[in-house]
Amino acid sequence: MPSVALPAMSARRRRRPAELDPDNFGAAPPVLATIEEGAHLLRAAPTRGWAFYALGTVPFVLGFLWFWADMSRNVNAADHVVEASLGLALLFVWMKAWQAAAASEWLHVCAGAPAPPWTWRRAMRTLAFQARWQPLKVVLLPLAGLLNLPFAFAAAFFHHLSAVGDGTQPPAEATRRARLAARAWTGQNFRSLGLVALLSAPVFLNMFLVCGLVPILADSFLGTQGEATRNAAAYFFNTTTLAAALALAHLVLHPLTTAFYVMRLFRFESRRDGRDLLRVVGGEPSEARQPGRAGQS
Amino acid sequence: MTLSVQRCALHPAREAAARCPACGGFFCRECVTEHDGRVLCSSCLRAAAKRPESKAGPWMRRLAGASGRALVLLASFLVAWLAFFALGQFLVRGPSVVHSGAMWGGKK
Repeated sequence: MPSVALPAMSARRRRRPAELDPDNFGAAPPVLATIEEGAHLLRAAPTRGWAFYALGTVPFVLGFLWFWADMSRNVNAADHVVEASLGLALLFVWMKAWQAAAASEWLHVCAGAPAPPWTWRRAMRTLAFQARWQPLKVVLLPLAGLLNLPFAFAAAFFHHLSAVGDGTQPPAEATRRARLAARAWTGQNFRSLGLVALLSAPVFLNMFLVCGLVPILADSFLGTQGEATRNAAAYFFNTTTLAAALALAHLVLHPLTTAFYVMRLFRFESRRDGRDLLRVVGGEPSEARQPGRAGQS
Repeated sequence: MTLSVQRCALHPAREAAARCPACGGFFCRECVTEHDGRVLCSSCLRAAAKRPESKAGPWMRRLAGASGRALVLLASFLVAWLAFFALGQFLVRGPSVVHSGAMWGGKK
């Protein structure tokens, strides 16, 4: 069948700036290779990045579990739900700021460049930027998930915001970079999210079994009786156990997802500024600090 | 039509060297001047120079910008607070047999 030109569409494509044209993004790197590079990046990352990540994430996860258990079990929970949710929102912003610091460190590891020093001013800028954008994620991401199609863009956008919003550039420029990278390689983005979702099922099951079996094993070996041994069905299937398993699965998978999006951003921006080539030309750091070595542009 | 075949709007004998981003006219290199990061023709440069500066002083503009940013930040934070509040309300109002796992045959 002969192809029919669509004048309206081609006119619209012509008007689009070159940097937003998907034809100029180049071929997407393979999903599995990028995830693998992300895993390698996590292994090669210095302790500082991990410390930043833990400093933000652990308090939020603990706060979230306390919030869940308190709201679902405490008969007086309705009296302090406003204060508790305020605390959780503050912990969320705290977590996102530290995760941005960690993602920024990891992005610099990718580029093989030393990360700029953390000053008080830079930290405040990072906090302000993340506090401005990331709370919207709580609402926009589930909404995008319901609408399905924009979900990959929204997930990538907020992850990229973490990596670029580190207080080293104006907020408008950071947002532009995140938006541009999120628009690129939609198919790869969806495939990677599908893969993470597929991976999350066994991880969640694993964590759920750990949450359930540890008290039972403790009873067998140590004789410590608790809710789990008195009433196993209720212990396994109460919503707090489920939330705990969910939180643990999140703790396992989220660093990998973050590292994947850091690698994705690095690969995308390298197509424009040759950052990956510059790293090779400008003297190679040690082998251990080369997470993005394979498949350079 | 490309720049290479255009003539200067003020000097038809000369080839155009630049296009003014404000009026869109073609000009030779003597008729354009760099101003504020843009290459403008003389008439657009005059118009830009005549444009009155904002009456607000620099500190007023900074204050307005900062308060605008603070408002956006506050609004964004409120969204998260409301979302967590809604989650809290959902948990508080949920049936206790579900939360305690009693619906699976256990005790309340």
